[in-house]
This record gives sequence, C-alpha cells and structure tokens, in this order.
Amino acid sequence: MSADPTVVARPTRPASRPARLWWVYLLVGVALAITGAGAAQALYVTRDLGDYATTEACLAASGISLDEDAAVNVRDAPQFALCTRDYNRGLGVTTLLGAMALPAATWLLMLVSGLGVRRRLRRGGAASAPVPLWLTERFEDLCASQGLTGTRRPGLVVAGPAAGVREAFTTGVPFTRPQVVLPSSYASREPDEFDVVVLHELAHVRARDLLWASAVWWAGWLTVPALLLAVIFSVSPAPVLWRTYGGSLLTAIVAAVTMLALRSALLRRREFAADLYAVDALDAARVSAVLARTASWTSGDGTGAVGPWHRWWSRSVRGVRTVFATHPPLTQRSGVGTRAAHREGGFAFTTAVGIIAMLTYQTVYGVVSDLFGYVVDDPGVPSNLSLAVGFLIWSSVIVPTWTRRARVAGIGWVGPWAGTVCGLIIGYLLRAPGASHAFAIVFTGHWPLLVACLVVVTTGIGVLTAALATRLAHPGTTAGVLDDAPRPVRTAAAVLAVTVALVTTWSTTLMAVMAYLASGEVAVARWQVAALGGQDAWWYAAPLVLLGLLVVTAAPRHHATGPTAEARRPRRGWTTAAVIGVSGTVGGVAAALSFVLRVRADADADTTLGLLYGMWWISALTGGVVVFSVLLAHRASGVLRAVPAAFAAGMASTVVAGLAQFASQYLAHYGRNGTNFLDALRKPLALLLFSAVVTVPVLLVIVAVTRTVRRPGTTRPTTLMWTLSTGGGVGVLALAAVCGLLGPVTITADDPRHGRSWSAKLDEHAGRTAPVARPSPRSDPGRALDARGAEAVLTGAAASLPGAPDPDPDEETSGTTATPLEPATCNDALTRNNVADKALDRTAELTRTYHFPQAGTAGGVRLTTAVTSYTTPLKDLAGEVEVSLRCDRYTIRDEQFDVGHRDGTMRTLQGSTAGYPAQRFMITTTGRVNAKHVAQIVVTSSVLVGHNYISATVAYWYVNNAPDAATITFLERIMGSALDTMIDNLGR
Amino acid sequence: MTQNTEPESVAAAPGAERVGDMMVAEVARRLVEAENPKELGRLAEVTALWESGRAPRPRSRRWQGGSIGSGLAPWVLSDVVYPLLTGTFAQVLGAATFAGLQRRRDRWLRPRRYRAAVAAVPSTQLALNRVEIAALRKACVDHGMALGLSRSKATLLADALIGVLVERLGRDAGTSR
Repeated sequence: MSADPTVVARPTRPASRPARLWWVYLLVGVALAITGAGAAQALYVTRDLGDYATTEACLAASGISLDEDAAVNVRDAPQFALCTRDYNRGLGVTTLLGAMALPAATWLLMLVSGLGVRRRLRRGGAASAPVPLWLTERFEDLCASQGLTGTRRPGLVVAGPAAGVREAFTTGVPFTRPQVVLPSSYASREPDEFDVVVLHELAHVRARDLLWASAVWWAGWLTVPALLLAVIFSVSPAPVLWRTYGGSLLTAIVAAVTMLALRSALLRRREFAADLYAVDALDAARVSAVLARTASWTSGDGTGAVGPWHRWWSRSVRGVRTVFATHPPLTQRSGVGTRAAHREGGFAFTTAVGIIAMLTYQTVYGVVSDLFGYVVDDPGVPSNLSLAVGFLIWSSVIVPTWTRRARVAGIGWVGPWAGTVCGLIIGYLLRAPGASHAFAIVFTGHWPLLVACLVVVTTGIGVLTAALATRLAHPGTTAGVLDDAPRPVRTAAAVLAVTVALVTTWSTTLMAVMAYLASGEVAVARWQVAALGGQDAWWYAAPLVLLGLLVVTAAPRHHATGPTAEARRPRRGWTTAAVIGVSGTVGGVAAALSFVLRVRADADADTTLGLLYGMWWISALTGGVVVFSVLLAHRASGVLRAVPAAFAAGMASTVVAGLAQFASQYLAHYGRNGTNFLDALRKPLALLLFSAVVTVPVLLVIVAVTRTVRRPGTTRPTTLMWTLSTGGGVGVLALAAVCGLLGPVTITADDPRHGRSWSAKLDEHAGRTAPVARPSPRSDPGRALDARGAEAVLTGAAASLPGAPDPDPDEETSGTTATPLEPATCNDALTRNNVADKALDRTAELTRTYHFPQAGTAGGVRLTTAVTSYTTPLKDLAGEVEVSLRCDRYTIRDEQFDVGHRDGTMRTLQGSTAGYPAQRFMITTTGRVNAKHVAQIVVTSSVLVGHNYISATVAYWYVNNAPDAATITFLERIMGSALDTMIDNLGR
Repeated sequence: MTQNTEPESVAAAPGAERVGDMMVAEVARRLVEAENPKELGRLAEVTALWESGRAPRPRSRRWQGGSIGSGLAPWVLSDVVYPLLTGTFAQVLGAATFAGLQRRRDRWLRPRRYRAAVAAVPSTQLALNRVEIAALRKACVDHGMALGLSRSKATLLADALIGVLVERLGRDAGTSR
C-alpha cells in the first residue's frame, strides 16, 4: 500500500513526557549490589578465602567461642577484634567487590542483550530490508513533532517476515541511540496504526524505559545464579551447604520471582503511560480505535487450546501469565482515553522498597564493620550510619511516590502503611541471600516483643510520611500554581525529616527492647528511651526534623485561595501562634518549677537526674498537647494534611517551653550554663519527636472519633478558647507528671537508678569491674624468692584441675621450640628473647606441668605453671611483645602436615591483674593432616610482681573444630585460677 | 498433482470418497486472496520462507532483556496462515504433521550445510475427502485461538478456509467425474 502520510495531521507534542523512573535505577542498583555482596560473602565463606581456621584458633586461644552469645564477644572485644581483624577485612573487601561486580555484570549483559537483539534482526534480514519511503518520512515527522531530533532521534528498523517480528518494539545498547523496530506489515496498514504504535514507542524512548526494564530483567534472572555460582564450588559437603545456604537459596528464588513480577507490573503501568502519551499527541478517539481494532482480532493469551488437558493447562497458566504479563490486556488499553489515574505506592511497592532499604542497611553495616572493625569505640556509629543510608533510600523513593499518590482524589493509605510496616520489619528480620551477618539474631526467642514495638514505630513513620506527601501534593495553593512535579527543595526537606525521624525512633526502640530483654526491667527500657539509647547524636535529630517540617509546611500565603486555603487563613495562624506561645510558657514554667521545688542539695546524682528528665519530659509533653490541639483544630479540613503543621507547632511550643524553663531556672539560680541551656532545648525536642511519632496514629484515631461525635452546628472555638484550653491541658499534664501519674510512660524517679544498676551489671559482665579486693599480703609479694619460696608459690596452683593430677616429670616450657621459624626475623627475635632471658640472674626458677584429658581436644590439655624470681626486678614484659610483633604470622616445619609445615600466629594483649602488669601471650599453629584441619593452641597468662614473673600456660590440640564454649570457658577458668593462686601465694 | 495417500478403508466408507487435492501454498494464497488481497505480495515472501524452511515460529517467546515491546501486533493474515493451516491439517490428516515439522527451521538438528543445501522444498500436497473437510472447521477455530486469535476472528477464518476448500475441491471432484 502506498499510503500518503500528508493526509494525516501532524501530532502535537505532549506537555510533559512520561515521568522517568529514576527510583527504579536506584532500587535495582541497590538490589544488585546487595545480591552481589551476599554472593561474594557466600563465596568468601564457602571457599574459605579468609582462612577461618586461623581465626577460630585465635579466638579459642583468646578464650572466645562463637557458640557463646554476642554479649560475651562484646566482653572480649579487644581479643575478638584482634583475632577477626584480618578475616573481617578480607570479608569486607570481598563484599565490596561483589557489590560492584554484579551491577557491572548486569551492565554487560544489558549491552550483550541489546547487541543480541540487533544481531537477531540482522540475521532476519531486517537491517538490509528496503524501507518504504513514506514510512521513513512519517517516522521522522513523528520524531520531530516530539522534539526528538539529531542525536536524540531513535533509529527506525523495518523488519520483514523472515525476522519474525510480530509487534513493534524498542531496543537499545547503552550509550547508543535506541532503535524502534517495526514489522514490515505496517507498510500495508492504515497510517493511524503506524502513528499510534510509533508514538507509543517514542514515549518509551523519552521516558528511558528501556534501560531500567533491561536492568530489572537481568537483576531478576541473576539473583539465583549468582548465589549458586558462589556456593557450588564449596569445599563443604552438600548437606552442610544446604543447611547453611538453603534458606538463602529460597530467599533468592522468592526475591527473583518478586523482582520479575514487580517489573512486569511496572511495565504494565508504563504501557498505559505510553498509550496516554500517544493520546496526548494524537487524540483519544484515534488511539482507542487502533487499540480496539487490535483487540478485536486477538485473544491475547491463546485461549483456544486444543484438547481438555491443554485447555486445563492453559487455564492454570493464565493466572501466572497475568502476573508476569508485561502488557495490560488490550481490552483495558482500548479505554485509554477515559481511564482514571493510577494509584502509586501501594502495599506491594512499599513493602518491596522497605525490604530493599533494610537489606541495604545490613549490607552497608557489614561492609563498614568488617572494614573498620567489628567492635569500635562506639559500636553505634557503623550501625547508625548504615541505618541512615537504608532509611534515606526508603524515604527518597517513598516520599515522591506517595506525593503522586496523594494527588489522586479519594486515595486510601491503609495499603501503604501496611507496606511500610511489613517491608521495614521483614527487611530487618530477613538476611540477604548468602550474607554472613544475621542482625536480628540477638532477638531470637523474643520476636513478638520486637515486632510489636517496631510495628508501633513504623506505623507512626508511615503516617508521618503520608502526611508529608499529602502536604506536598496539596500545599494550600490553587491547582496549577505549583509545577506538576513536587518542588525539589520541599521534597528534599520531607525526605530529610522522614529519614531522621525514622533513624532516631528505630534506633531508640531497638536499644530499649534490647535493654529490656537483657535486664528484664521496664524501668531500664524507659530509661533507654529517655536517654535515646545513649546515642548523643540523636539529640540533634529533632531540630533537623523541625527544619524539614517548616520547609514542607511553608506555602506562599498570597496563593491561598480555594477550598484548601481555608486552613491557612490569617486567624488560624494567629491562633496557632498564641497556642504555641501560651502553652510553651506554661509548660516551661511548670517544668522548671517541678525541678526547682523538688531538688535537694544533698540528693544523690540519680535522684537529681530523675528530676531533670522529669522536667524535660514536661517540656516535651507541652509539645504533645499542642500537636493534639492543632490536629483537633484541623479535624474538619483534612487531619492527615495537618500532621506536619501540628508536629512543627508542637516542636515550636517545646522550644518556647525550653526557653521558659531555662529562664525560670536561671531566675532561681539553677543551671546557669550553656549546657543546661542546650539541654533545655534539645532533650525535650528529642523526647517529643519520639513520643509524637509513636503516638500519632492513636492521635489521628482520637481526632477522627471526635469528628464523628461533633454535633452539627457547633460554633468554632475562638482563639482565646483554643489558647486557654491548650494551656490548661499543658498545666494539667504537668501536674499529672509531677504527681507521678505519667511515670509508667515517661520516667519515674527510680529509672536512672535502675539504668545505672543495669549499666554496672553490663560492666561486670564485660569484665570492666574494679579489681577484686584481696586480703592484705603478709609479706612483700615482689620480693626475690628462693627455691623453697618458688615451690610454695606453685603449691595449689593446679588444685582446680579435674582428678588432681600429679605434675608431669617431663617438664617443658611452652612457647619455645628448637625448630627454626620462618621468617628469619621471627626466629631471630625469639632466639634473642630467650638468650636475653637466660642471661638475667635469677634466684629461683620452677615449672610444673600437668596433663589431663578434656573433651573436644586431641590428646588432652597441658597446664604449665611457672615462677621465675630475678635478682633485679623486671621493668616490663617487652620481650614477648617484640616476639609477637615479629612473629605475627610465621611458619614452622612439621613433616607430619600435608604441606610440610604449620602456619602460626602470635598475639599479645597487655593489661593488669590484681594491680600488677599482666600479659596474655597467644600462639596458634594450624595446618592440615590427611586433609583434616589440625590446630594447636598455646596460651600463656603472665604477671610481673616485683622480682617475680609468674605464668600459667594452657596448651592443647584439636582436629577440625575448636572445642565448644563450655570447654573454652573451663580452660580459661583453670588458667585464671592458677594465676590467682600463685599471686595469692606470693603474698603469704 | 493428484496423489492418493488415504487408507483404502477410509476411501471406501460411504460419504468419504476423495473429492480432490491441492497444495498447502495454494490454499494459503486463496485464503489471503479471499480475506485481504493487499497481502498477496507479503504472502509471496512468507511462502518463500516457508518452503525454504526459514519461516519463524509462530508466537515464539523472545527474551525480553534487550527490548521493550508495544504489545500491539497488527492483524496480518500472511504471518499466521501457514502455522494455522499446518496445525489444522495436521490434526485432521495426520500426515501433514511431518510436513509441518519439515518446514520448521530447526537450527539444532540440521547441520548448517544441509540447511543451505535444501533451500526450498515444494509445498505439501493435500488429499481431502468430505468427512475431513467437515472436521477442518472445528480444528481451524481451535488452532486459530491457540495462535492468539479471538474466537470470532478464528471462526471467520475457518469459514473462509472451508469456502476455499469446498469451492476448489468441488470443482476438482466435478472434473474428475
């Protein structure tokens, strides 16, 4: 057919292109990085790239078993960090490489797949097929009408019958012009059909749908193979692999299927968007006619199956196909002109974003803690940093999406809120496929409590986010004044507010739950909330949230017309200001009085602290009352939209309360310093932020109930009435707080004491307690001993051994060997130290060695107690330190081992025991005998007491796995007991 | 071009006498001519591909990694006529099954040299009787829907096919008597 394109009117250019889905790139990039990181961790573990045996041996030498709970590892933090440093650094680097490798592989596959499509077309003769002139001209005309000229214009490929192209599509290779491929049958079709299909494809080109669709496609297909490739060449047997990574594999499969299903759902929406674009460029009637014509001949899903079995199979598969269909049914598409706007950001979307955000948190935490130390001075730093990254991703995607959702009239929020709760909590409890870190493991056995607390927090965050989105979507101006897209600054402010609020409340909640589980006391949990989990940085979170809220709620007053302007009329502004000022002043003065009138000069620190926090809580409650008051005032004009303003007003009143409280204290001669001034502002603000977030859903319910019971015709309260009633509410609440009625939910006078007591228990558990008081020595423990004295020192040192074994007559000092070590520097240092030690004059030297059997070890355990009394007191234990530095890693020849040598490490940790310089010297050697992992552990605890050097050494071998926690603890105890006995004997 | 391939028992049954035969390509041409004569040029290309064994598979699933489709396939009878006829005749005649497979490009089973050597194979010859023609209509509707056509469109094509066959075979039968 030689259709004349001039008979068809040139299409118009739509005002806006379909929105580009930048967030899909963000999410798919992050998902790929998480998957790659997990697979890399699995590879690192299954291939034993980090020499786990050496790490395990080092931990065993340090008296640490990985079977113990995390608190024990925290107790032994320095040793733990020392042993796991190399392993974790390797793991961190591998994780980072994996996180980069999989996105890079995906990029390459996108490239290859684009080239593959082009090759397929060339093989089908599409590239060489003659293209009718009118098609080319019409295509160029359509591109020009959409502003796609020059290098931005896509190429046109007309595919003949041999290419097997039945429908038009767009293909592309990254960094090249996309190509629109059309079957040659369009040459014999009506020009309208050509226009519609080309404009549809141009919409995809302008929205850059091709890249993300391709990326998500490959992300979905790579998830499972990446994990399988990582573990399939493992040295471990299959049952062990399945036990370790079976859950990960299932997670990966679910993730892959979900990813492909979400991609299809998103593509179906993009098809609608592309159809709408064609409608805007042409007109609804022409587009609908073409779509309806196509729909009239196709059933779309092959429903005409032959035979009953085929028919049953078709019916069964149809449901699955619907989920993975990349195009909506043509019958739906043909009604494109009259279709209502889509609702974005529903349950599935929000859940998926939440899961990805929390897995991001886990991955980032893993990398940061592995690279910079599992235990740092402040363990909260890597955790909070990772939380901030994860939640920033969540809010960056959710806020703009929910803003678009809020523009749709009559939209509901239950789905998104449920998605917020499910996504964030599931993502927290889940482990990324292949990942080594299990975060929620510390809550094992206490899931209901943890989940219940997180449900409260995430629901509050969901409500706050929806409120901010609604405010962004309906800023109180007439339609058309704002751009179609949300203003970047206001959106960024909302993202900031949500992120900071989420990090603060989430982190504080986890700390409170952990404190409760560890202590069993509600008071301790309450104290953790009051102290924001001991995270000092969170005291500055509330001002950031307030800043974000102010930017979001600030709207140009002169645009305030129309239905939504009612909420912004000047009278309400003055009313809010009056409420803030009066309530803040009343609350601040009441807070100051609660402290000034009750504090006593002779009160202990805990009592004073309780009064201080009670005072700050009153200032915070002032803000809470104002939040409720503002919500009540807006109950008739959209309470959800009023939440940001209510939060901002509440925080403003808390600031006023803080100022009033500081001024009142100042007048009463209390706390006249900058710290008190700062605390008067930041602590109540932080408490208000936490309490407002967790209670806002309840407040909304209460406001909704009051709206339903409000009698029609009731007059609106005046400014004076609002101000007085709110101020009165603050006064009543302050009184209730002082009387202790609010103690169960805020703070009681005893909470600081409980908190401090729990901290002391933690310190005790962590071995940070003060030295045990010993009876005064009857003689100088540091005196030079003779042979008899040395004998007396060792007496009873092995009393705690099972079976009270006799000393082994074949005495031997551990840690020394006649076999030379490699490298030579290590051997020289060891020789030098031995020579130097032998050269020192001594008055006595005695060693006792005991052998005893012990489960989990190969050949039992050897305990060696030794005392050496020097003529001249030793200054320090530097000799062994130097040896350990030179012999950090060494090898020792041993023909019994598969490779003819053992790999060894030496570590030294210095400290003090009973007030004397002490040292723990750990030697491990590992290797394989007949492919079995064999390790030797030698640990020497030594103390320098004046002229005397005493030590207790435990040495043993094990095969494959280190002894269990009970054995390691037992060996630590007998070594410590032996040392304590010798110290006590020195003073006798 | 007449070739009798049916069993003696069928040929001897009442009302099942052979009424004529024709080439699949001819049926396809007559069908397109009846439905949309503008596609005859394209049909010639498709027929050439079909006879050379290079015709693409109907409704073949392509990987979606490097492209994003429109979901809009124009109605082109030439593209579906051979899969439709092959499937229909295969179900009714059985013998055509082999013919259909023979024409399918099978890149995995055939050596490249052999594919190049047997560039073109003449269209399969069909021999039909009245009983088979009656069964063709239902088979055509079923296979049309399996190929993604709506029931109404598949029925229209089936009726057109029966019309073409009745007209041609009736004429053959008249001349043979």
